Amino acid sequence: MNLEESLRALAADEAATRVPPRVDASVMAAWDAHSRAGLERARTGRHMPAALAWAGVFAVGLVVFAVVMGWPAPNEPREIVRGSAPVNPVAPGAAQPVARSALTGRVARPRPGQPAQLRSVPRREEKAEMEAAYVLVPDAEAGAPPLTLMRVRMPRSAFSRLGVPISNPDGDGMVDVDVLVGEDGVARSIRRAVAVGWVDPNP
Amino acid sequence: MQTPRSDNWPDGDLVRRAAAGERDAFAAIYERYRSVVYRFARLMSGSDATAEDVTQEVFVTLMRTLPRYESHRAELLTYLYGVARNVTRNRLRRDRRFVALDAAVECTPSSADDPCAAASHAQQLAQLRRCILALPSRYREVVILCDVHGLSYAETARVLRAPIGTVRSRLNRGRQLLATRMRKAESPGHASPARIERCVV
Repeated sequence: MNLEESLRALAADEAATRVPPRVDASVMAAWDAHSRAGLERARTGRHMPAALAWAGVFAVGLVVFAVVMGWPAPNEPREIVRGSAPVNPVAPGAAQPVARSALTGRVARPRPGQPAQLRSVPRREEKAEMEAAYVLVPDAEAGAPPLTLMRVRMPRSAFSRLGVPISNPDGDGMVDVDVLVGEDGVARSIRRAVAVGWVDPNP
Repeated sequence: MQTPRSDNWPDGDLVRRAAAGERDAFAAIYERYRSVVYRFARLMSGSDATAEDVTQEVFVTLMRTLPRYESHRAELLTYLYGVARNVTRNRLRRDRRFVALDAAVECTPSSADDPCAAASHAQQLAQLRRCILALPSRYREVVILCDVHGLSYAETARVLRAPIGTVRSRLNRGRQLLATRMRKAESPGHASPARIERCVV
């Protein structure tokens, strides 16, 4: 008898195999137990889905509320700006305290009576605009932050020495200027205060 | 109007009714497929006790998964074969550390008129069963499904969740191994347990 015939004979022999009655009994007993358990679950846990649904609604509401209220903090980086930077004598009318970032030396003008505030990091265009108006002071090393911004009044002739012609509409020979001073006290760059608009951190 | 017997209902209807808690529907499913599952497990494991346990476990699994069963994804027979295959493999892996006390599956007595031929036939079938059992499981399951249970390549591929090409190659290799083992077992120098038993008797 070759393999094929043997397998055919085995298949015929297997077809006559019967499952023992004890297996039938135990499977149907398992079905009955399963059905009873299902009925028990249905009786005791009938209100569970509604409770779960309400819990879900509550959780979603909580998340929405938290997002609306701004918590957790947005991804945009924030930094603390102190309003206690040293300010030299300034011209009357232009006397706003100048603020400096504690982290990067970036400057901002806080509102009166506002000791500290949050300000977003300026965009690249804003930064370029602010830096474009500054004139580097000759022979001064390029200082690394932190730098302190100071507003002072100085003679117009000082600008002329830097090669920057400054008109003097007031006629008194003095102009308001912003000076960036390093930690070593050496001025790094300078600009005329009125010539450049402030980037208001809190428009 | 007469209600049709549950034996004649299609699998999908039976599954839906059983999922709704109808005992008769589940009993009909069980009656329809119990032999297939039992015979598959018996040939795969070579043990009646294991086959009984596997059959129970397969149908207990079915009753637990009835509400999640999707008839459009797999036929019920294919699904049951898949469950039986997994349960048997797990069982064999778990029982590998044990040594069986009783040798194997009993042979069904043949109803042939010639008792000598019947004894020879039964002996050959027992030999074939032993050779199938000695095959690696990946070849054994394909030989059982295709050659003994008569499933097509496509059905076997669905049960095993394998490509048809894999089924073909495994079946080919399994048949080769089986033929080699059968030849070896029938060779005069090979002392099979059956021969020893006959000598003792």
